[in-house]
Amino acid sequence: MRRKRKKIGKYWVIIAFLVFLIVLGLLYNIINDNRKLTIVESLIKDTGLFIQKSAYAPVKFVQQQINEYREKRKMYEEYKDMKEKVESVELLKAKNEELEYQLKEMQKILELNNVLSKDSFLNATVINRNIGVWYDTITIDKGSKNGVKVDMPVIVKEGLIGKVIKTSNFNSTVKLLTSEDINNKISVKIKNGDDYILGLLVNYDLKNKVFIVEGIDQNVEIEPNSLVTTTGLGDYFPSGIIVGRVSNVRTDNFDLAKIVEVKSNVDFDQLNFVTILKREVEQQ
Amino acid sequence: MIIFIICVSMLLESITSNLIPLNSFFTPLFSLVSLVLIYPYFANNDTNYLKTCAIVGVIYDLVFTNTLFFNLLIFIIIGLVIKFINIVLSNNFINVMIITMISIITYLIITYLILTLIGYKTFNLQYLVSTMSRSLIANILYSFIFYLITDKISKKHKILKID
Repeated sequence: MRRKRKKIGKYWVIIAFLVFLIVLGLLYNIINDNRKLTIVESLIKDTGLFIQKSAYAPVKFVQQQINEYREKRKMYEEYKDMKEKVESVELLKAKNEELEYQLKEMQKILELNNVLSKDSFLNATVINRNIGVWYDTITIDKGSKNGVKVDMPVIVKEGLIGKVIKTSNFNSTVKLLTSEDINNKISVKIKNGDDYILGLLVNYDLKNKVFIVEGIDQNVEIEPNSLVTTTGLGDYFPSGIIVGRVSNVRTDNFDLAKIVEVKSNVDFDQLNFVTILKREVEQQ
Repeated sequence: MIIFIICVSMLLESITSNLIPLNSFFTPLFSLVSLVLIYPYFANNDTNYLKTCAIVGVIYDLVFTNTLFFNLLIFIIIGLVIKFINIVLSNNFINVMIITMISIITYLIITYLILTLIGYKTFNLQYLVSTMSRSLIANILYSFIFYLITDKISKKHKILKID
């Protein structure tokens, strides 16, 4: 009788372990960012976020009024400065047109087709952030009906903030660059004089609030404060989006390569309005 | 009263999450706190209470986190924790604050461990502790204020509740 009980006890341990593994596997599948939302999920999400958006509207209105007042005061100061600079605008305009022409010619020569076009921006408002604590995602009020697709890059005026990972009809979820996702590697280039040094943005240092760029030769000298932008290599981010500026350069543990710390100008704690790059690339 | 507490908590969580900076000392988890606040209104009907926890979990999953069934599972576990603590502790505002604290710590530890086990996050004890401390202040304060409000309403309208 005792032996039988012991045997059953052993089986229970194995069964419990197997159930635990199955549950973990299912959870991995559920939490995976590549999972597409089902129609029912999309519908419920859209309805829930619509209710939430309506409840948030009065708060948002007051917030906007305060911001508008601040902006107006700031604009008046800027207006005074601009008045002085307005004379040089025509000159800059002509120069800009010339540069644009040159860029187009160069694109033709180099057969580059992964450059942003002018009409590929879509502005969106952040309607959710911080929820779920660990996920480092925000929800924006533009979805597949507005032409948003998974993997589209999302930026603010200070630089890149992340990419779209899920879309429903009227909302999308954006995964921030600050997340610890191991698959979140981005090819970047660091401006070094007239040249660029290529590297791979692999991680975000939560403690120092800097991005870590690896894959850089030990013998290369990098100036602090150099501009870091995306390279356009890879499937997700087009070339030339600002990531940040170099804040520190150090060597890795084996003295074989350099590790560059990049400080972003984006305030990831205060994201209210973002821009989605719809990636309508200029086809040659 | 139960629906009122859940709806208000969920709406407030989504609104405050937009107003408060991401890494501030106030990380709202009001939906979770609502599970603590609604328990006395079930008058020892534990099955219904756990069903409600599951529903709140599913809504939380669908609307906020895209992780279908993940929070359902966690919210049921938290529901069980709340149920067992309520057997030991009576229902007053100090105990509600204590239960809220235990629930939030349990929730954050379980979710973080699961996310670490499946490779979504790398384990960092310092980060876990700092997140827990950030979450506690606002949520305990919320549970205290909301407990007082709902207690007054329930007494005024004579809504059945265990103490």
